[in-house]
Amino acid sequence: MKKVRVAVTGNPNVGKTTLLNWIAGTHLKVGNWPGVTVEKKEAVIEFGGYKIHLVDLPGVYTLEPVSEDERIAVSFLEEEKPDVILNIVDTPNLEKCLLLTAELLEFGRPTVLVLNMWDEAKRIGMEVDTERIEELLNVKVVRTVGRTGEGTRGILPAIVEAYEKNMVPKISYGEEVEAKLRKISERTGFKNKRDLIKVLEESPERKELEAKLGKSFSDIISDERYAFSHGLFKEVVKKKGEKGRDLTDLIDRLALHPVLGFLLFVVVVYVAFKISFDFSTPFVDWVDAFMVEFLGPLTGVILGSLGFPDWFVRFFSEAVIGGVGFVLTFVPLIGTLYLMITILEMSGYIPRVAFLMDRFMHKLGLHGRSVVPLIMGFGCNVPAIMATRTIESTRDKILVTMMIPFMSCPARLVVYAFFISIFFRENPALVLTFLYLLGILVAILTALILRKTFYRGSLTHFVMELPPYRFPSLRTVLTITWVHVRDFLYRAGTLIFGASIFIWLLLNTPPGVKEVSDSVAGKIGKALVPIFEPIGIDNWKVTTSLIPAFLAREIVISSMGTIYTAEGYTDPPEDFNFSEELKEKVSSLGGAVRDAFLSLVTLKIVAFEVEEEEDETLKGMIAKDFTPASALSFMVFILIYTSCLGTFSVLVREIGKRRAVLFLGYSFVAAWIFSFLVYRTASLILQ
Amino acid sequence: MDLRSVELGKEFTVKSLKGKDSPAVKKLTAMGLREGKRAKLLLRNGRVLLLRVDNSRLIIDNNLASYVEVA
Repeated sequence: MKKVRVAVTGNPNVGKTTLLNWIAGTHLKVGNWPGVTVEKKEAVIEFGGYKIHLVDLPGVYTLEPVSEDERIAVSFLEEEKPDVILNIVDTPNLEKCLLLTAELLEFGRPTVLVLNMWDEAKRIGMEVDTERIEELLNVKVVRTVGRTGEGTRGILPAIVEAYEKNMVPKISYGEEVEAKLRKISERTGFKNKRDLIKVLEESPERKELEAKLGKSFSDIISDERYAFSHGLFKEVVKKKGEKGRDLTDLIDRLALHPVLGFLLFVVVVYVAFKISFDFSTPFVDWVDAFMVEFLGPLTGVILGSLGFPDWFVRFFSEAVIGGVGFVLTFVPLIGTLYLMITILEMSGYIPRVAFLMDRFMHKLGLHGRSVVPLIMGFGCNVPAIMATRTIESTRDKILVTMMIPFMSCPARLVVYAFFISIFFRENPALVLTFLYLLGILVAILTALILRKTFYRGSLTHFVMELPPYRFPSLRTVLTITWVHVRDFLYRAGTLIFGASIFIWLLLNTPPGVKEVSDSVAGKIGKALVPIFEPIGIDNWKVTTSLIPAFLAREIVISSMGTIYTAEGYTDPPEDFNFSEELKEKVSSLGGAVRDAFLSLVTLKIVAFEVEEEEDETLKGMIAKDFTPASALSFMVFILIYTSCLGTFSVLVREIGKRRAVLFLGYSFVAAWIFSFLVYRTASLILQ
Repeated sequence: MDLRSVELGKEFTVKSLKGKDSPAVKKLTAMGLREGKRAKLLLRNGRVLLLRVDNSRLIIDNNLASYVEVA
């Protein structure tokens, strides 16, 4: 099957990735703020006898490479020479978008122009003559509404048609420039305008042109592009349409108000977390009970009756159910948290925080814009660090990059949720708020230290676009949430499973070891105890769990699950009644659903406020080795120490190996110091 | 006068831009704030301004605003 490579391009926030979701059903990340797509991503679909590769490039305003995301887009277009360019524009802002269109047309590749947000354009009374665009530029034009998917079916046929007919687009500039370009074309045989302009820039004709028009070459070319896009806009737009005061202006009066805006921000964050925790907790409890009371015994009975050796039944119970299964119980929490973050992302609210926080960020020597990747960090540190590529200044980029790893991501939340549900049932919200704020505080301190030492430079300029508020489509929100959950499940099946096997093997080495504390795992853990003793962690089972947790923080929980299950291993029950147990689990699921919805009507965060005695369960066993103070100290350690392979590798890629290793060391030391302080203080208070 | 001295809620026309070779000014023009454009100052918060240019909203900092001569 023939391969057609399509570059998907457009300004930031024109709905590129949402459209891709519609046409390819792909699971690409989208968000309603400039610069979410920071790395090129690909989706492959078979259509009309072709294998169509859609490459989603970062959103850019021009092809003049200033920041890194622009360089990525330009190098792809220049070096990979895509067969078709899919240029998506935001119709209400057509005039602005056409500048990039002009630059794209210069490549001379068959082009499909997608007029997205057609409904918004119609609403403001804008009229665009799409046939005239096709005629003038020799391109295919498709009208779409990203939110509902209307018109998106027309995109693939348009790509195929433009490709099959090899539609070379037409673009012409002023007569002086065109005359020079014609000469160069005759001399060199080059056809596309971009190459011709590059040759002209290096040729003697450039001086003549500059003298004749009285401006610099770059001014001449950029003026020509503006003139072209402006002229095209005048020619094809019959009615410009004017937005009156719309809903966005109305909401912004509150959301961007210096005082009320802050209050709103606090309310939004509170509500998002309240829903994430309270809605998911009944399901977390249900999955936990399902694993421990149903799946665990069931698999034990089945494996035993099938004649599997004893060690395998133990392995399954300890590493799979105890380790991986333990982490999986938090899937409902991760899912709802991502759902909330995605809704916020897509609604257009998050960039507003940049405006609101500028004054504060300025004190740290940063622009308000830096807040956007920091907020993304609460979703996952890795894409947040990649999003710093939109920052033009290297100094700002490094400062923000080194703040992001202190933002509490959902993996840390898994650890918090676990300890809070054991030790802080009375004040879950207070402890969570403390941890999230502590992370922010450490980030601020880090920025201040860096600013006073290595990165003294002054601020560069700052400009960013605020998208209008949009009601996100349910389909897109659910798709994105699913992508995150799938990612978490994938990690559970690979990384976490691998780590559980690793820990299990260490626990059973040397073979036949009687007491787990005499195993290799026990010895390593004991050797580490002196380092962690001052911060309240004096148990080898916990220190051992920290080693594989470098891969991902939630592994600390799965490892502890494996170790403690191994220690307290009991043979599968003899009298397991399958149908009774199943009936019980199904009916308790109904109760969980009811509890989840009921929790939404209260104002207070009630998650983890469960009262039950869990002495015999895994949680109960782990609880015996901690005190509230050491649990708090442990959470602080997990929060601050960058124990995440994903984050570390993206740091290496973005700021270099040396800086990344230094940062890792710094985060370890900072984690230890803060845990020490927290442990000592909490020991006094929580007596 | 430059953009910093525009009154809140007032419309203005961009007369000229200084420092056209600086990346930030290039970006600003690419985002739609060009010579001859009509725009409106919607809000001000400390060092940042919120502008309405055609159908889009831009945030720019005070320092960059000083590069924009308006009438």
